[in-house]
Amino acid sequence: MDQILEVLSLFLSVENILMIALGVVIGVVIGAIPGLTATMAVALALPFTFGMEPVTAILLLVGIYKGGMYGGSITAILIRTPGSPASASTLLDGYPMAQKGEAKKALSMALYASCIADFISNLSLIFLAGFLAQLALSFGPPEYFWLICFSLTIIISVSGDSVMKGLVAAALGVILALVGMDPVYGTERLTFDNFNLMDRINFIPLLIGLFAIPEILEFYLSRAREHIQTAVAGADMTWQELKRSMRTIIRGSFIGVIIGAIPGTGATAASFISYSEARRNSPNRENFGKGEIEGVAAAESGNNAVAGATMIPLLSLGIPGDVITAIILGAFMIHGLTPGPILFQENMNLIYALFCGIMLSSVVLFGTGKLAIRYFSRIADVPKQILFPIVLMFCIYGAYAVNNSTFDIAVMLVFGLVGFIFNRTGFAAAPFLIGFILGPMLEDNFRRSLLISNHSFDVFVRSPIDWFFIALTLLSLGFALHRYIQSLRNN
Amino acid sequence: MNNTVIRQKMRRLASGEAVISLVLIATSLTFLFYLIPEYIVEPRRLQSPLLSPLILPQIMGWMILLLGVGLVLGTLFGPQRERVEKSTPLRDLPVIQWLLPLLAFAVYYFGFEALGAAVCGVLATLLLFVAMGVRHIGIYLLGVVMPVGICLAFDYGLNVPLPYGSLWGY
Repeated sequence: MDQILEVLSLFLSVENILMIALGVVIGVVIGAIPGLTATMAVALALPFTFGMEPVTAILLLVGIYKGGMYGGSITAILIRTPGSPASASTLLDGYPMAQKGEAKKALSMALYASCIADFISNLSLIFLAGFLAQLALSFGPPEYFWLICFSLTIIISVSGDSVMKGLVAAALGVILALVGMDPVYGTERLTFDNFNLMDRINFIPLLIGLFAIPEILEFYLSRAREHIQTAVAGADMTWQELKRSMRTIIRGSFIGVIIGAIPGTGATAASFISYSEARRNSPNRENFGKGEIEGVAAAESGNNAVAGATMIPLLSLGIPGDVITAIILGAFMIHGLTPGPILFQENMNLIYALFCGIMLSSVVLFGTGKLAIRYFSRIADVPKQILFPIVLMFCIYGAYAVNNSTFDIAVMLVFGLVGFIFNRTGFAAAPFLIGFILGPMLEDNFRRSLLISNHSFDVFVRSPIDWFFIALTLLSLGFALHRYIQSLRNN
Repeated sequence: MNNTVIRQKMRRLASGEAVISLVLIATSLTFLFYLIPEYIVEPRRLQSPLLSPLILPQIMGWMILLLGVGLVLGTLFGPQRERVEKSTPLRDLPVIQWLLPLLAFAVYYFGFEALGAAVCGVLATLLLFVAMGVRHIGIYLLGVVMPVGICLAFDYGLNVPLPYGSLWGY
C-alpha cells in the first residue's frame, strides 16, 4: 500500500500531466513539419529538462517521442510528405485516400492505429520487458543480417506494377546509401572529392525530395485549370472500418513491439514489414497502394508500436534502441540514474511512476490527435495552387534545417527530380527508400559477422533465430513467387 | 519470323519502356566499369575480399545490369502493356506555367543564403501564385506574411535558425 502511494505521489502531479501533454503536442506539431523530426525535438527539449524532477523530465521527452511518431503521418497523408522515414509507408495508401476525398478517414485510422499500437507497446513494456530484453540480447550481427534480409523481401509488395522495376529502384537506393566513408576501412566511396558527401546523403532531404517534390512538379507541369478543384476532407472513419482493420492493427503492433525491442532496427523496418504482412493477409490486397484503409492501419500500427518497445532495452538493459532513446538515456544520466537491472532494484517506484506516465501518454496522444485531425484535415480543402507553394516553402526550410546547408536543398531538389522521373516511368519510390535505409545496415552487419567469426560463414547459421529469419525470408519469397505465377495464369 | 513480327518487335524496342531499360543498362555499365574503379578506394590490405568496400556496389551494379536486360526482354517478348499518361506533356503547357516554378526553385537554391529564407520564401511563393493564375490580393498578402511568420517561428519558436541573408549584412 505504501509503495502504491509513493508511486502515485511521484506520478500524480500537475507538472507531470502538463509535461506529458506539452510533449505530445510539441511532438505532433514538429513531426508534422517536413524536415523536422522527433529526434530533433527531443534533442532540443533536453536542456529544458535539467531543472525538472527525473520523472517529469523523462515523461516530457517520451511525450515528444510518441507525438513525433504520430505527427509524421499527418503530412504523409495530406501532402505526400512524410515527417519521418517511418511514415513513408503510411503515404502509400494514406495519400491516395486523401486524393479520393477521404483525408479525414485516413487521418482517423492513423490515429486509432497509432494509439492502439502505442497502448499494446506500453503493455509489452510493462509485462514483457524481461522476456523481450532477453530476446534482444540474443541478437548479434548475423541475426540482424537475416532480419534485414527478411525486411528486404517487402520490396516485392511495395513495387507497384513491376517487381523488376521495384528491384532496380531498391538497388539504386542501396548504391546511393553507400556514398560516403566506408565504415570498416574509412576509405571514400563515390564521394567525388566533395566533402558534403563524405558524411553520407542525409535521408531527410532525400525523403522530402522523393515524395513531396514530384507531387509539386506534377501539379505545375500539368494543365492548371484541370487541377484547380478542392479535395474535401470527407467523412470520418466508421466503426466497421476500424473493426475490419483490427486484426491488421494488432498484428502490426506485435511486429512493432518485437522490432522495437531489438536495438538499432528502427520504426521504418517495422512499418514496412507490418504493411507487407497486412497486404499479404488482406482479402483486399489488390487495393493496397491505391487507397486501402488497412494499409494506413498497418503502417501506423507498425511504426508507433516501436516507440514503447524501444524503452524495453533502455530500461531493462540500459541499451538505447535508437537515437531518441539514446537522448532519453542521457536525460536519465543527467538526473543521476543509470537505466538497467540496478534501476529496477533501487528505484522501483520511479519505474512504476514512469510506466503510469507512459500509459497516460497514449491517452493524451489520442486526445491531441483528435484535435489535430479537426484542424489539419482542413489542409485537404485548401486549393492546390495555394497549398503547394507553402508546402514547397516548408520542404525547403525543413531540408535546410537538417544541417544548415544549402547542399541539402540541392539534395532535396535532385531527389525531387529522381522521384518525378520515377513517377513518369512507372518506378515506385518506396523500394528506393527501403534500399537506401536497409542497404547499408545489411552490408554493415554482413561485414561485422565476418569480422567476429574470422571470415567463417558458419556464423550465419549459428542460432535458431538465424534459421527462423532464413525460413521467413524463404517463405516470403516463395509466397511472392506463388502469387506471381498465379497472376500470370489469371492473365 | 515474318516481317510483321520483326516490325512489331522493332516498334516495341523503340517504346519508352525499352528506352528506360537501355538507359539502365548504360548506367550500370558506366557504374561498373568507370565509377567503381575510379571513385571507390579499396584499402591496400584487406583481411578478406568479402570485406572489400567494392563488394556491395558491384553486386548492385550487376543486379541493375541484369534487371535492365530483363526489362528489355520483357518489353520485346512479354505481354504488351498500355501506359497511362498521368499528366500533360511539357510542350503543351504555357511558358509561364513551367518557367515561373523553375525560377522559384532557382530563387530558393541560389538565393537562400544570400537573400535570406524569408525573402526567398516570399519571392518564390509569389512566383508560384502567379504561375497558377491566382487573382485574389488576399492570397498574395498571405504569400508575404506566411514565409516571414514561418521563419520567425523556426527561429524563435523551434530554435532552428534560418539564414537572414548575407546581402543584407546578416
